[in-house]
Parts: sequence; structure tokens; C-alpha cells
Amino acid sequence: MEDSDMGIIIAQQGTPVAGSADYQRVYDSRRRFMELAFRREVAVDASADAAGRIIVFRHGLGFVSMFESDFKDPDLSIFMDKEVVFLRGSKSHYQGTITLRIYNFPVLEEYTAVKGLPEGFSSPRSEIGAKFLDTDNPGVDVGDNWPVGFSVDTTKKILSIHKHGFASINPRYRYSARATAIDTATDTITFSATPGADTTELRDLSWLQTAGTPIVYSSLTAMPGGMPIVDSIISATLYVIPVSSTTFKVAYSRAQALAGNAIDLTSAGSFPAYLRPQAEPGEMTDAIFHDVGYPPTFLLAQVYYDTTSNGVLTKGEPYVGPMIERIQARVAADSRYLTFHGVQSVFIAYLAYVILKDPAELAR
Amino acid sequence: MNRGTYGMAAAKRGHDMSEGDWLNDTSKVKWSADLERDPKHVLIMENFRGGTKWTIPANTPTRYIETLYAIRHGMPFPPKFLCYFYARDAPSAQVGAVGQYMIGYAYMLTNAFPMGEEGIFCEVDDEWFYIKHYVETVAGNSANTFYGSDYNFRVRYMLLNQPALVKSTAPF
Repeated sequence: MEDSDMGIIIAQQGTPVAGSADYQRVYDSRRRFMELAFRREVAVDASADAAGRIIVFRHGLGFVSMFESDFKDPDLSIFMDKEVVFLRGSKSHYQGTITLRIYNFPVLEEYTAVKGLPEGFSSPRSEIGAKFLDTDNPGVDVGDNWPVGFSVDTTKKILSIHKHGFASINPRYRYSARATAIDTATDTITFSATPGADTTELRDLSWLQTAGTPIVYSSLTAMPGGMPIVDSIISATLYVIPVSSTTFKVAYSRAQALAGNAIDLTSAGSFPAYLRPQAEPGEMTDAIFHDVGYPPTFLLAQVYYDTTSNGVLTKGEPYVGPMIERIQARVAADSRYLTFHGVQSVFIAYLAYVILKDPAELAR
Repeated sequence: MNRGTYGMAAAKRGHDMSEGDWLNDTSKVKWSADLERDPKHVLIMENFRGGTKWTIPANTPTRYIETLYAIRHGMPFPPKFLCYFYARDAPSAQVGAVGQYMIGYAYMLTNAFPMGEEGIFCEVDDEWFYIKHYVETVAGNSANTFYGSDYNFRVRYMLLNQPALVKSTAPF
């Protein structure tokens, strides 16, 4: 979908179009909307395919979008990829009726709405609006003052999208490796993949072979049951000096790392130790940049990838869960960023997000 | 009237209408909210307190629920809602919650273990839209007084002109 500098703008009643804030325009045909592609009640009587998916509906949009449903089952969850809506879980068969709403925009592609008014715009005020009948509500006529029955009714506030896209929140927490030995004579640390590494990120150790990567080093103690807890963390961020495919040295700064000036390691400590890449100083890895100009109303969905293994792990096509009704995170919103904080730990997620042209702090 | 043949559509720049997948199509239903309804369908509430500070004795796995806010929505169906909770103030032990938004549901973190959980959620039925407060204790819980009104929220909700598929954001 492309932006256009032509279109129709209608502001909410009593507000001149010229000079109106973007959230005061009930209709701006240049924007994307929270617009339905499909509403379906789907009768499902299907079994899982070879990939473990119970197919619910072939939507055929060709892209992943936001969706919602009334599906609730303790053993199955509902997802959408670019072709189908499907169930997955511990059951291999499902019989029942599921109501779906699938929205009409490729949420994982980055989109930002046009800003401001078209050049040459010259209609200072209008109380004229437009109504279009919804073909799925045959009982309503244009003259009716019903809350439903119209696909577009500019006497209402029509929610449009400021921005949508994909965000990986705190991505570096997906990467880790183990330090298995320190040679104090050569100041080298031996590393290996995290045991059982079953994601493409955990298999990827290139960050330990890239000069100047900031990392965290911590020793571990095993709790009963094998859950590791951190018993000591080297508080300074360390920077990698690659030595071989299984060893590296560390420096106290990127410049020192790039110059090859390693720290003199005088003590081996306990093993295994835990390694993780750090964010670059000043880099925001826990935020979505939206720049809408006010703390906005936002919508989120969790994004997933399947990983296939043919000797080499391969990340599959993305798919999403339904629009999140509640999120296990706290979100700080300002006029430029949404920032995510875990409730009791670091929040790590792949998210599809929608920023609406709608302030979270103004009623209208 | 043939309802399917009226409307406006615009093709993408450089594309033809016959291709479909238009830039703008008024036949497709869009999220909307009525700004003129009474009671309000779009509203912000300041100083929204977290409810009763329930005191729970030990070893009582129980669910407590109270309604903090209710309006007749006046819609011909339970409407879809958007609800945002912004923590304006929190107990000193949970000061990290201040300044955070939550969608649909607000955790009211407790500082003791094991007790259970406390929060605020939204719900609709055929007639009403609610904001409710709950505490759910777990088996073997410690005796405790929950935070309730020690939390102070700014709440913004919007009732949309389409039916809800999910009628409650309660975690149970």
C-alpha cells in the first residue's frame, strides 16, 4: 500500500480540518485503518498436519496481519501466518466453531502514515460527513443513527493507524553461550554453545568472534532442579577480542578490543560461566520508536518463528498470535517511544505492533 | 438498494482499480467509536483507585472480585473495548509500577510470597461495561492485606462499534 497526497479529510464535529490534530480527524482517506479484511464464523473439524497445525481458515491475504478470535481451549492456541489461521498445541484434532476477525494490513511490514495536510489544502471547515453501508448488516439504512451497520461513518471517530511493524524487544537476551575455561597464562576464555541450543540465536556464536562486541560475563550456580542462578557478575561491560573459533580474550573498552589490548586474567573462577551480548552503550533495545507526538494507544500481538533442523537450524516464516488482550509487561509511553519492562524479569519478545492515531491521555 | 455497489475506492498510485487491493475502500468495516454517547464511550478517568484493601487470612485459596466502575453501554451487542491503565501512584514497595501503561489489565504487584495475585480488568456483557478489581490467593497463602486503593490509576477506555470476541481481560 502506498501513501498518497490526494484524499478526503473529515475532522470531528466542531473542529476545523485545517489546524486539527491528527487524532481529531475522524476520516483521512490517505491513512490505513483498523480495517477488517474478513469476518468469519468457521466450522472446524480437522486434524493436525505433518507440521502439527490444525488448519482453521485459508485467508489468502498473502501477509500476516492482526487478528482476533473467540477461540479458547486449554490445550490449543490459535495463530495466523501469511496464508492460514491454524491451531497448535497438545491436541491433534479440533471440532468446533471459531469466530475470526482478520484485519487488512501487513502488520509485520513497517508503515508510517503521512503527516500533516496535503499541500494546497484549502477547506477551512466543514460539517459534512459520509456514511457507507456495511453489506453484512442489511437492517440499517443510511439515515439511521445506529452504532453499527456502516463500514464508514464519519460522525464517529474512525481509528486510523499511525505506524505498524515488527519489533524484537531486547533481542540480545536471546543469545547466550557458555564459558568453560579460562587460561590465565594466555588470558583466553574458552567458549561453547549453550547445551541443547535449539534456536538459531543460540546456535549463532558469531558475536563472540566479532572484535569489539560488548558482553556480560557471569558465573553460575545450579539450584536444585538444575535452574541456574547467577552468583557473580563481572559488573563492567567487557569487549571481545576474538582468538579462535572456540576462544577469545576480553578488553575493558571497544577501542582496547580493536587494538588487541587484552585484560590480564589472574583468576579462573568457576565454570560453566554465562556469556551474553550487551546492548551498545546508549542503544535502546527495549523500545519501539513511533514519534506520533503523544503517548499513543497501541495494539500488540506476539510473533513466532518455527525452527527447522536439517543439520543447520533454519528460522521459518513468521506467524502471529491473536491481538494481545493483556501483556506480561509494563509499557512506558511518551511522545516518541513505547518502552517495555518485564514484570519480574527482562521482557523479551518478538512483537507485531500497531500505533493508533489516538492519544492514551486525551479522551477525544 | 444494492448495498454492495455503493462506496468509494481509490487505487494505489500507478495501479489500476481492476487489480483490487485498493489504497482506500469504504466498503471495508473500520474500527470506530462514538464520541457523542452518554454514558461516554470514550473516556479518561483520573484518580481511579484500585479498590478494597482486602485482608486475607492464611491458607484460604479464594477469589475476590468487586466492580469499581460500570456503565450501560447501550449497544445491541457486547462491544469490543480498548482499555489502558496508567499507574499514577503505587505503594512504596512497588514504585517501579508508576508511569507504566498496561493494556486491558493492570497488575497490582504484591511484595510477599506466596499470596496470589491482584489486578484490575475490563469486561462487557449484553448490557454493561465494567472495570473490576480482583484478588486471587493460592493454596498455602500467607496472611496479607492487599494493596487495593494504594494504587491510583489513570484509566482510558474506548468502546468500539463492533461486537467483542473477547468479553473479559480477566486472567482467569
